[in-house]
Amino acid sequence: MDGKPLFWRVFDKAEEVVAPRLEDAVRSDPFLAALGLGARARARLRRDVERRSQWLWHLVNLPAGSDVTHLRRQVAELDRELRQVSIALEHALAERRRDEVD
Amino acid sequence: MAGGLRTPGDVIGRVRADVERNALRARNGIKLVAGVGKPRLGQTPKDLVWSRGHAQLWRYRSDRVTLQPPLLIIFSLVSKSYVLDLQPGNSFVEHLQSAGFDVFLLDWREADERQAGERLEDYADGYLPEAVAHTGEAAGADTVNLFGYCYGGVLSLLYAAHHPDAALRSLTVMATPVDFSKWGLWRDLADHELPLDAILDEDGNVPASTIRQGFRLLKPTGEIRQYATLLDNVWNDAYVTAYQAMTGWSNDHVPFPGAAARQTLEMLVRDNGFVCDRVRLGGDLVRLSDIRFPLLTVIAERDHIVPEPVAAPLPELVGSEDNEVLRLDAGHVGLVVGRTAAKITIPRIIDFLKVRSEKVAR
Repeated sequence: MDGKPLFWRVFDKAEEVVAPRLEDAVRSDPFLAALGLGARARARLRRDVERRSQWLWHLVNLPAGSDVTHLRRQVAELDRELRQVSIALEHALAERRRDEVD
Repeated sequence: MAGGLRTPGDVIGRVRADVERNALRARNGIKLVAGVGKPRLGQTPKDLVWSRGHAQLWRYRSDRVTLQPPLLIIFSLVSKSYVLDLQPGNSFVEHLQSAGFDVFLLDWREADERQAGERLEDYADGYLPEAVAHTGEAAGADTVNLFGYCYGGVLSLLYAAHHPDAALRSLTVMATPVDFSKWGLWRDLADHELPLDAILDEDGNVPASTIRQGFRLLKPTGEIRQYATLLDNVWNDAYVTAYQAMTGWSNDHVPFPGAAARQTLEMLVRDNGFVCDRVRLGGDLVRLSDIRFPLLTVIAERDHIVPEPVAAPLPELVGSEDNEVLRLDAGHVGLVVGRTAAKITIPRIIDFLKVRSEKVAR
């Protein structure tokens, strides 16, 4: 007896048996393959739903969620380019300031 | 009588204690279920020094700075930084400030569609060099002590290796993966051609929920043990507060920028880039052996997120002559939170940094 309450002795024993098996199970080929399949299936389902809702919204001449996503990505791309330009500008200014000091 | 209850007074005392505990159990149980009474986290005052994209450079306010150069902490891309400043009295940042350091933190706002295309180059060659420059400028120092935690350590290594002439006085990495061939489940997922495109959310990032589920899979029974321990200690106010703080943090992940996640999976995990010298940034081959800065590697021996064999090879891979290792009997978070952190980890880190710092006149 290690002085632990009965609840913890039972819990530790059960965990000792279950945990390694579960850890092996989540690293097994079938589980990992199932994870991949599940992710692909979810993505496919999402695309299908998006396509159908897009058709529905476009029917009443309104933008669908996927149109908004597309726009957001374009804005993000623009934001990224703008950031790169401002970094280049800051570097050029810093270099000019250094040259002036020299 | 059983349990050492010899007198009626003992019995009454025991009954009274049980009644009190049960009252506390009921009260704390209601608090937990209702989600009220959550502790306030990350309370050390700080000021924003610089920001660009989703990077934010913070400086913790302190009138106790006695050491230079400043200390810049690079935080992970998948979780929230308040774990470093959990609660007053249990704060990594607070300990560093008490030791006299001028503490800066490079943190990341939640990634959205604007970060989906950000690659590791954007971090190692963009955000980090800029943060180092702004830290030095704000503190009036020529160099910086850099400190990377978890994935922040990966970013720090990429930066230090790709910029061997960076203005760094020293580099400390804590719980940082380098040998990805030993990274258990993550490596298995990479080997099984994890369909990253199917995982990305509509913004193009790895969703926080996926990251959370991934961490849960590393220790499938971990959550059950957590609940069992809580059940056993629910009468204890201090335990419940710490539980709320820690559990809140461990479930509080943020989306991982998609392009950086893809590079991590392909270049670092599948190709084991750090160990096999297969890391390329902007077309350049990046080798850890090019790191010559004084290095401290902090390894947690009970870390289930970055197990010891994954973090341990770093000292042999770098070119630093001043190269120290600190192994601790702690878990991933136990390095910065809790009693072991306060008594052992943080003082050892402070000792390493103090030797590589100098006193400033006040």
